[in-house]
Amino acid sequence: MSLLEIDHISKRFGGLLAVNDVTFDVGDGEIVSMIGPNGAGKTTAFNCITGLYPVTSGDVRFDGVSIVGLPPHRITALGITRTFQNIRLFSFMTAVDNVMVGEHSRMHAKVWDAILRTPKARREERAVEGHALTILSGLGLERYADMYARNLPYGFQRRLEIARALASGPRLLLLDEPAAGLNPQEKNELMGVISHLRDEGLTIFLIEHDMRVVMEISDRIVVLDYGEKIAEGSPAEVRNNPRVIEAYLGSGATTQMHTARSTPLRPANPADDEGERPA
Amino acid sequence: MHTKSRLIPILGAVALALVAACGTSSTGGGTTSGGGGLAGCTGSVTVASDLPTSGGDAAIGGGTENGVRAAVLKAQQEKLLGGCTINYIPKNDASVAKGEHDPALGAQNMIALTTNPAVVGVVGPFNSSVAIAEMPIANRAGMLLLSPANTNPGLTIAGSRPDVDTNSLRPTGKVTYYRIIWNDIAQGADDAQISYKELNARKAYIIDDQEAYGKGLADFFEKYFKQDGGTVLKHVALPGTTKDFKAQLTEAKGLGADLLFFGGVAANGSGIIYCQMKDVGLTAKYMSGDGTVDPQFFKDCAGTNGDGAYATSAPDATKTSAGAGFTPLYDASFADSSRVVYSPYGYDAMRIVLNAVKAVLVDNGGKVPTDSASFRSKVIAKVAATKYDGFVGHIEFDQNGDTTNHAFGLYSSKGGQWTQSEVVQAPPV
Amino acid sequence: MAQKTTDAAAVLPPGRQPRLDALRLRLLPQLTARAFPIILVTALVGMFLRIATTSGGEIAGEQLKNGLQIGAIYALIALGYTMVYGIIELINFAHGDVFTLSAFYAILFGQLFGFFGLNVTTLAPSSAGGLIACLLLLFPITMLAAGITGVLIERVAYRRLRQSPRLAPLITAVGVSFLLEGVMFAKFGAANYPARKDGWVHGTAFTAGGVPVRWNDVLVLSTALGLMFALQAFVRGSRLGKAMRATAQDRDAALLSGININRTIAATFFIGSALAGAGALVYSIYYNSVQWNLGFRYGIIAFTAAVLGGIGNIVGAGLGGFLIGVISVFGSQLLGGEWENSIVFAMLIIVLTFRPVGLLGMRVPDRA
Repeated sequence: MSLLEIDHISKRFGGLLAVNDVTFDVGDGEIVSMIGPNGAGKTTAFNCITGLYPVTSGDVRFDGVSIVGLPPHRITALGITRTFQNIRLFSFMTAVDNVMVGEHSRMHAKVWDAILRTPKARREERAVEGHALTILSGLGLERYADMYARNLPYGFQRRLEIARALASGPRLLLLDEPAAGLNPQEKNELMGVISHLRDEGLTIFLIEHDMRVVMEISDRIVVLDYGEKIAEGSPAEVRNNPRVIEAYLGSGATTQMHTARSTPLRPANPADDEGERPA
Repeated sequence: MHTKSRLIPILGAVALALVAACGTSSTGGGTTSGGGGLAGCTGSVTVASDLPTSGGDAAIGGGTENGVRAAVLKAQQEKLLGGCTINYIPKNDASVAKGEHDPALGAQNMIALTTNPAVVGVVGPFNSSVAIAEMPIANRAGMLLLSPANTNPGLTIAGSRPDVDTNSLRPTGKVTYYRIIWNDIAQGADDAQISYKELNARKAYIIDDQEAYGKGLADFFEKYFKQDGGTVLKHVALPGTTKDFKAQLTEAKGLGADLLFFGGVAANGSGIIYCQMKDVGLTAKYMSGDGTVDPQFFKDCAGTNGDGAYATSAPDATKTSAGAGFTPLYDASFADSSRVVYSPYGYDAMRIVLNAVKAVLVDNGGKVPTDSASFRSKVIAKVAATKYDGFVGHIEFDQNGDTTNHAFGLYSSKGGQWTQSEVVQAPPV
Repeated sequence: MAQKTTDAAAVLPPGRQPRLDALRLRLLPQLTARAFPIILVTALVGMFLRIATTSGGEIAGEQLKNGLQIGAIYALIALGYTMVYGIIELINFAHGDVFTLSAFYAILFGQLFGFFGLNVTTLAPSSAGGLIACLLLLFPITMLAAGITGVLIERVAYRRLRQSPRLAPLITAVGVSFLLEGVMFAKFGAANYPARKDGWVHGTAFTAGGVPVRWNDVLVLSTALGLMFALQAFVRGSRLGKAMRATAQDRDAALLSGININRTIAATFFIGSALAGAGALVYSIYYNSVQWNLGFRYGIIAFTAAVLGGIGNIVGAGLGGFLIGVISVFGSQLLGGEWENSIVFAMLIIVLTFRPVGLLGMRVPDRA
């Protein structure tokens, strides 16, 4: 059964059609990757799913319910969370505070409770902190709990972002280039984390450029080019799809997909930041 | 004051005799005859006033305007201009933007009044800063301005104030501005003398509110207090928006001041300063000028905290023999609580204008002059020659337009009111 | 001039002169920025000693107390500026007027109690218990009303402009400021409006080193310090505080972490305005009168305090408030009261030139 249904969504920024009539599903318990050259509309699609951008047309359903038009914090509360292509932690907060912020949508104390610091708010606060520490240990971050996020090693910052995303208790986790900037060792660890999360019942939908990671962990792959879906299928099917090869290497290229693209050291190239903010 | 029955025949006869003799310009004060010789007068004469009647100056400006209105009403009742009617245009120079008297609005008002050919004379303004804005406009238009309250000496005496170019206020070179109150040279000298001789102060700390009036008064106080033998510890100028004077008052305490002199208006902190003196434990005497004699003082320093301050101002005319009749006259039309010390000044100023108008009409054979410019200049000529006994005493003008009457009231605060303790004649300056 | 340049070129080896300049250009501001807190503290101590030598230690101590007392009020206002700037990078020019309006609230609530038969103007000065009862009634209700005012302003005037260019909300803020001033002018008149709280807090609490400290001063200082510590604990420890800090650091990430941004920003306005409300209440008790245009001057001085402390930084705003209070009082004794405003705004320019991040600007963790 499909947990996330993307139904003919389009997103237009002025004259630019960043996402053009894209349709696909993400099944419950699946790991699905979205790939495509820079500027293909992948992050824009993410932003549409998480409510950061309103879609121009089409529908996004989560667990059978349309989530189009909901504000981001409501979508988060329904069970979709994400990480960012260029890490966006709250760098001047401790690791545990970052995770606690992620748990925000699960807390029930009202603003008034928080301002007046009622016993209810305090109790909840303590429970949340315990939960946050559990998540951190689950990802091997317990040692860093009281460090400012900005002082963590890069690989751990990536993991902390996942920890923060997990804190709200999601069913679907969107990862935007989680392997970007990681060394091979860290990539292996990341793949372990992702598989582990799937085993715990989470559905994972990721954007990734690193073909080794994509091919190894994905159940299915969706390929975008110029905002359109050009292919969808198992890693083996996609790897051998001529349109995909053409999109990546230009016409006449052969089947060297898995080594075709080297991962940039850092996602600093602004061109990677597709549609970050419409001008 | 003068009883109607006794004066009518005497003054009426005098006026007629003089008019008949040479057409000169005695405009006897308190003239209450029914428009002697003007019974056949037709048409109307328009006079105006420009005072701050809202915002922070509402109480004092409104009370003054009521005095002006009382004079107009009285003249209308007794048909001072015979068959001619008196129109009165009250203007308000307190703007919403400033929340108090506003020179820019005063200038606008003056343009409106001078471009209205019917208007022959204006009572006002109240504040010297407004006068500076209005005087050149009125002067170019040959319009009489008769102030009941301006005390900045620079308005009339060239060279008396470094910050006022008196000659630029009279671009035509003619004197068109008069006032029935003394100027701040006299007031500063008077305040200094009272402080030194009666309050036995020797070391003064001076605060002014940076405005033309406040700074001017404080400067003259400083000059004469030193002349009298006192020491001025410091003289600071603070903007009218200042609400916290504790830094200065603490400093004054440290310097051992035995007198705090404030040159400024109540809206700019008279009462606040007095209350904060007690807060910081400064036990010096408090002396100020006429701007402080204002009910606002007690809003800012209420109850017994407000007791014991001193200030000079125009004498309370209603406590003198000349002004005894003013209160019933005022109360006939207005609530007594709205009466201020300037109310009789407002009355007398307007009465002098109307007397001058009457004299011009009489000269003109009982008709309203058709040429507005010459009507205005004739009114000015009549005002210049005024010899008038009004509620505030005898009034004549010198060649600068200043009154020769230098009587001050010394007021002290008690029980939420300013009470006049004595009337002082200013020392010669 | 031309001659001099040639000389310098002749003396120095080629390329030396520009490098020196570059070095100086880079190092001097850095050094000044580093040394700024030391220079400031030295200047303050110097001013204190100068007053002590000319007027005596007790007067200097009293001036310090005066500065801290007025600074406490600046600090309470500065907190609201800094919190709002921290979270939406808006200089909320209407904040000073929210302060003034809250002072009028404090007066009106006093009258309202009278309507219900509780005469606070006689109850409060009657005994310590009466005063405490009145304060316990007035503090929450004034702060609540102030907070709601702040939230309404945000909702009506700023929320829709959140994605607009910076200038739009800034100009709107100035507009809201004028609007509030206009309303207060029309409603309460131009003159100082009596607060009728004379005698509420009177007498000397204690004397420290020959400096008499009155209960009034104690009320103002303890209110400011107490609320500042409470705020700091709240922002660091509570869920909403974390949400505020998270939103301040990365709004989109906060949004996608499940934070309701609108509610968080509204809460920021609420807390900032409520603090100004508390400041307004103690102001109305201390000074016993309020004027419609008070907020302009107090607001802009409090803004300077926020910049001095490091805009966006809560501890910085508190510190900046006290420092500006002391600087203005010391400066006005040493240079004359007419220089007070000039001193305060010269301070603003000096901070912006030499240490634009402010005193504590480097320590962003406290930002919210």
